[in-house]
Amino acid sequence: MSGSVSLRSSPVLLLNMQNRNTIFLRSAIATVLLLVAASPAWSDDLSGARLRASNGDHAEAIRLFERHLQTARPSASVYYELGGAAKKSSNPALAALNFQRALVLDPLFDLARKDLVETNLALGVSSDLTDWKTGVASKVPLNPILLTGVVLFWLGLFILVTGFHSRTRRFWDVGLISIGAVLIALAWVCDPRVNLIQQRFVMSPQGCEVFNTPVENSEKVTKLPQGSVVTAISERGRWIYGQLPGGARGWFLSEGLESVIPTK
Amino acid sequence: MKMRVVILWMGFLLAASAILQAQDATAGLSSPSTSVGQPVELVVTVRDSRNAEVPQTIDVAGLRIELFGRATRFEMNNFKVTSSLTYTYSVVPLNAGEFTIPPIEVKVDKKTLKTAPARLSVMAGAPPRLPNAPSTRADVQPPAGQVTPYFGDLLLSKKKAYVGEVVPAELRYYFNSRISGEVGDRPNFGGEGFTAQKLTHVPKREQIVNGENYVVFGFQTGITPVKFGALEIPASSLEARLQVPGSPPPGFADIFQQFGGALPPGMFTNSRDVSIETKPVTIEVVSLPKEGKPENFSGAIGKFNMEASANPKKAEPGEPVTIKVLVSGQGNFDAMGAPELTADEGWRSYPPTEKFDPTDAIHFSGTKTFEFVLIAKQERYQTPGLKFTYLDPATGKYESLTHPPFVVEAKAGEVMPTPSPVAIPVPSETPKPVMSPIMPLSHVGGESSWIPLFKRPVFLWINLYVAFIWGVALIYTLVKKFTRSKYMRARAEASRVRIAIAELATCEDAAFYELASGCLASIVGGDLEMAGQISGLTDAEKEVLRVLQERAAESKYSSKAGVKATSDERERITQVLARVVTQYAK
Repeated sequence: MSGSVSLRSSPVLLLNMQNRNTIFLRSAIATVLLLVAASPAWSDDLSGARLRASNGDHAEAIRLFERHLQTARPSASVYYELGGAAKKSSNPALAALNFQRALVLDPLFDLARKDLVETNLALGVSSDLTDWKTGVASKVPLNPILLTGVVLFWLGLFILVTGFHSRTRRFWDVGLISIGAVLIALAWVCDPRVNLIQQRFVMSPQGCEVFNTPVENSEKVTKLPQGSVVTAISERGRWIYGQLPGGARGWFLSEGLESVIPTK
Repeated sequence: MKMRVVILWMGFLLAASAILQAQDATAGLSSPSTSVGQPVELVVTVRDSRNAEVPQTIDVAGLRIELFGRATRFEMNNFKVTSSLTYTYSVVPLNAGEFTIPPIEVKVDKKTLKTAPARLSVMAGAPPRLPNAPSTRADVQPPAGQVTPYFGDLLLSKKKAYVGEVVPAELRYYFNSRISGEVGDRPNFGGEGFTAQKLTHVPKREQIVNGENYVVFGFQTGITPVKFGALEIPASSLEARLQVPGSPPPGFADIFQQFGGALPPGMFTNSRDVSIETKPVTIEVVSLPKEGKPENFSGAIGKFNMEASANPKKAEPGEPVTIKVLVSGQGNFDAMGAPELTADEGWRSYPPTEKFDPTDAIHFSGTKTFEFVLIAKQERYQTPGLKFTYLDPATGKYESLTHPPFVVEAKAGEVMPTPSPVAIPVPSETPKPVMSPIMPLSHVGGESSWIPLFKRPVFLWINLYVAFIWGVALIYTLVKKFTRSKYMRARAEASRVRIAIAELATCEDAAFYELASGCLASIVGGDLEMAGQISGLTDAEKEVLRVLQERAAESKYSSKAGVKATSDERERITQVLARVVTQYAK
């Protein structure tokens, strides 16, 4: 009896399963095709940009690098290459911005750091690489630090719970939790993507004028040269209130400024 | 007859001497150094010519050179007929620096003569020329009165100097061009309170002073005062043997008078040994200003520029980076120290080597090269900076020249051992991949997202999941710990005792004592000895408990097993047990 029920119901089930599988398969195939179709476009842009850069056509190389970065995942290497092309095409501000971005993505990228210092010298601005957070980030890989901290933190917590259960006292469970928490905090604080999120890069060749109040004809505090980096504190329409490299604060217009970390 | 032969010979000799005189052109500056805007003279002398063509202007960037005077001389000395043309140019410096006036082309008849190039050193800032500086003809004054055949002069570029400063000086000895003779190699020069560079000979030149043409022998030196106060530069003398005009032999003048002429001047001369002296000159020497003096002042006094370069840009472990510093300008190069390195943390430096390339003979102008050898102790991306401080005598202030650090890539560590020639493998034929210098294609590090790891959903979900598990484990542990707590165990025991007491009311009489004894044991935790010591019980109640234990033991172990309790006893024992529970709980 049960066999007949099974025989009756199986075509329906099979049909449902077939429909689900078909939808899933179609979706999967479409995704793969999309990826396959998009992948050559990225690689075409990138390889084209590299080819043009090596042939000395830096303006076109910059365009292709930027187009590639609009669609592809960010890469320290590509930003560095874009900075190199900008440097070769006598655009030190664009070069410095992209070297900076390469360093944000990979603080251990020594070549980018060296070129950033060199480009900043050409722009006549100082390279503030002496911050301890930058120092830590440039010496230790932050993600392994973070993961180690997380593992130690949870391990300590689980040992603490086990200690409750087994009525045993362990001193190093608190130690593991503390070490883990310190490592997590260190990775958090030193990650350039966190501490440089508010930084704005002066791209305008005319520099950036800093005002006392957010009014264009108000008293000017100073004028920052191209290539300077300011830290935005708050924004009010077109105006940004921020901190200058020397520690002073003032208002400046957002035109001509570029976020160090892209906001797309 | 004899007289005619003598006259013919004299005529022949005059003609021959005139023919044999070689035409040449010389150029000389009235001073080898000056300052911006302070003119000097350039005198071009063309010998043995009555007519010549010279350029009206001479093009030298930074100098304005214009012709403003011409003079002709015809002289005869010891039967030598000398004619010379003198062209005087005004040289006005427009910029500071070292200038070379190129050879000047002088067209004489169909020939083109060239003068030797002349060097002029022009300083910036306030004009260093002091009242006795040799920039104009009026400054050089022979003794007043009659025409002087010779005189000497000491020219200093300034009359006030700092201790240790080099003051260019020139000793000049003027000889009237109508006399000839021989002069010594160099004058005797020296004194106390200063040191002097070795005297160097300035090419002989001609100069017109008060309308008279003089041949000038010059010697340049650099005077360095070593103590402050009034410093007298004593006279210096130059020995010379001169052919001064003399009288002809008796009767010789009569011969010329017979021909209706006069004896040519300079035809007969007398030899005389003379010593030509310069005048003593006093200069004021002051000590170095204390205001603004750096702690480790290198002692440089003058006006300098600094250039620097670093090589190589990329250094392997232990490989030195050399910073080459060029200090150029004018000043006391022999006494100056090296520039100092700033912010040299992480570098091991060694005392620099020094090399001086003078551009003049007195070592006042030139370029001094310092080479610093640095080895990175830690990985470094820029070299130390440079700072060079000097005293500018024109302003009396200390000036600092700085150079920013060079961008290099220097790795820390020891020198990599050089492999022995035997161990060098034969290079493979595989060509190295050609890479663009700006494309580190091998670089694969770094993140591929602008979102930090701890803000990514995957990271957050995993941690949330772990946190959930941990929370469950924590709750389980706490619940388990609570259920095993003393309080919960006491509550469970009390509940069990209550149930046991309730069962006593319904149990059979034969089993009463045993059940009641077990109930009592449960109340006191198994230690029946404790039952008689529970506080708060009366003696009668304690007696009931004692009897209960005896009856229970009797019922359990004696032959009278199964002793039955009366209803009174059951009621009394039950009441006492209830009292025990209450008292024990307290």
